[in-house]
Amino acid sequence: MEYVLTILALIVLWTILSASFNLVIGFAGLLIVAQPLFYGIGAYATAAAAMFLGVPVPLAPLLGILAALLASIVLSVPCVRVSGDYLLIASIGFLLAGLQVIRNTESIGGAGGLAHIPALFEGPNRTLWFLLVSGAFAAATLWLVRWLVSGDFGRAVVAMRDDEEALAGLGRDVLRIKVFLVAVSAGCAGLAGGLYALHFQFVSPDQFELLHAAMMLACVIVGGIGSTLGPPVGAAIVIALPQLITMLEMPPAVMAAIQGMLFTGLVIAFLFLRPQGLFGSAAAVGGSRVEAK
Amino acid sequence: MMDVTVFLQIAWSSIAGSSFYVLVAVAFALYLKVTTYWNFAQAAQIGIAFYLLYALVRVLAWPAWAALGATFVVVAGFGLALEAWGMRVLRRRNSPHLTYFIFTFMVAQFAGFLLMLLGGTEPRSLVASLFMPGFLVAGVSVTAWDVEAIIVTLVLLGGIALLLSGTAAGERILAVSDNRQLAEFYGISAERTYMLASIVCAVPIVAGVWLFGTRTTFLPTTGLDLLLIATVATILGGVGSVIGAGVAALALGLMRGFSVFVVPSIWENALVYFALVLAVVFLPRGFGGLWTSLLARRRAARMSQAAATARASEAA
Repeated sequence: MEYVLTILALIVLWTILSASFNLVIGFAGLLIVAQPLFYGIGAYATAAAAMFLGVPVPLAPLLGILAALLASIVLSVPCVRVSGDYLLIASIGFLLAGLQVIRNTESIGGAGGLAHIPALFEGPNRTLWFLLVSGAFAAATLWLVRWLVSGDFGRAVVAMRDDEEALAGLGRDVLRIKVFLVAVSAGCAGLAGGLYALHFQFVSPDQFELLHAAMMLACVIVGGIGSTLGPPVGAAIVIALPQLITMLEMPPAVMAAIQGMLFTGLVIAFLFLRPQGLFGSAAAVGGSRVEAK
Repeated sequence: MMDVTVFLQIAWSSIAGSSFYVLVAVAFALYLKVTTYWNFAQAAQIGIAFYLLYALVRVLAWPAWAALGATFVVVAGFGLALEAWGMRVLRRRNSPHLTYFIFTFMVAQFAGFLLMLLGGTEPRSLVASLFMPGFLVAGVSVTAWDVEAIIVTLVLLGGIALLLSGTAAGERILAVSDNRQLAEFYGISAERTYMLASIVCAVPIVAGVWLFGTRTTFLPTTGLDLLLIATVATILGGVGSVIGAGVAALALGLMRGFSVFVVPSIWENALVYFALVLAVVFLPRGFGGLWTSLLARRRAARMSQAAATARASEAA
């Protein structure tokens, strides 16, 4: 039972991550793949706040959100001036450089990571309580994304994705919209990181590698890019499906490789057989929008 | 104060050690120049090349020339398959650049996991011992590998330059990279040219992997690491400039070599990634683009000065 609850908790955390990632990459059309770094910064800042600064554990994720938000501003203010592939490359560089900084900073555990982080919940039902709390945050994230992409602001976001110059011509501050969306997305990732740190009580730089950007992309692509319902379904498939392999009782290295092949293969298959994913619309993956950049 | 011999030693070792970065950067930049897509699936080609060379040379004890030939055929074939069943399909669908990134990135990751499954996670090299005896030239230690690496890199770069500038195939590649529609109007098949570019790119990839594998150890994730340095070099060299990417890769190698005097060696990789972000933000057209715009500005200033002189003489 504990195992199933832990998998569900991971699905919920990855729902927050993929929904916030989808806000930037799917709805806004910004090719930023630094989400694992914001997730990691949230996790490390939360852990450090709880362990070294004496911040009460339930409040520690607030520092995680703040740290991830600030990191997103450092990335987005200079970088969103460039678009398309250049933004993508800059965000990869930012992610890798950030991870190197974490890896080389001994005060936060260096490459070995931080262990013995205080837990959010104690006792026999801690995973169930964690699942309920993080589930509420996941629902709030989905609602936030839906709210942001609907109404007047949502129309501006979609217009920015489809024709940035036209929106700027109408007097909207495109740069501010981009920075705001990246900050919201990073804040959500920081929250997910904080929750992760406080439940699993161990964080290391290896948990926030470029590979995790591939996993988040997998959630978004499988669920449906640019759809609100897609990310939770994508997260459920991408997290739960590889768990089936664990039943085969293979050596960990072999299992990790097969699990990796499974989710990357799934994305490649979806790209060619159902590019709109399970819940996305065909228009969301059409050639006109990002190509226009 | 740095000792001259130490300076020369670091410079020489960095230049020789940059050879595989230069070759991979040239392959990456060439594909980008022709197709306009960042092909991260070249990381898969790098991984396949290494493990195939390892199997042929270390396990089956094939001679190096035969192993290199067979590896080239497989790597070029993989590139062609990727073009035919991947990139071409995406082009026909008029897919956004994001889709190409996801596809090539996922292919690279998939290949990394597959190689991890087949080859394990322990580091491997193409030679039994990585110890390289050297000889001294003016106090600088030079190894046979250094000489081989520099000669192979120069010969291949010369060959690629000759192919691009002196052959009909090279003309087709340049025509498509300049203006695909116009090239097709003149009867050049863009799709065939992309295939040709994939085959050409396989040459520096296989050579680069050979040099890398005979100098240091390789992991299933090394392909992507090499390609990220190629990405930095491509941007610094100026997108569209194959030679610029090669020169930038060499400069990055020198920067990494000399960085030990400024920062601890653990920050070497971070420096490269910071350089990537800074290059994209402040120098998106690279040093090549900066040089071109400086030349254009100087030409414009000269023309306006000439026009002003002409107006003045007319008035007189």
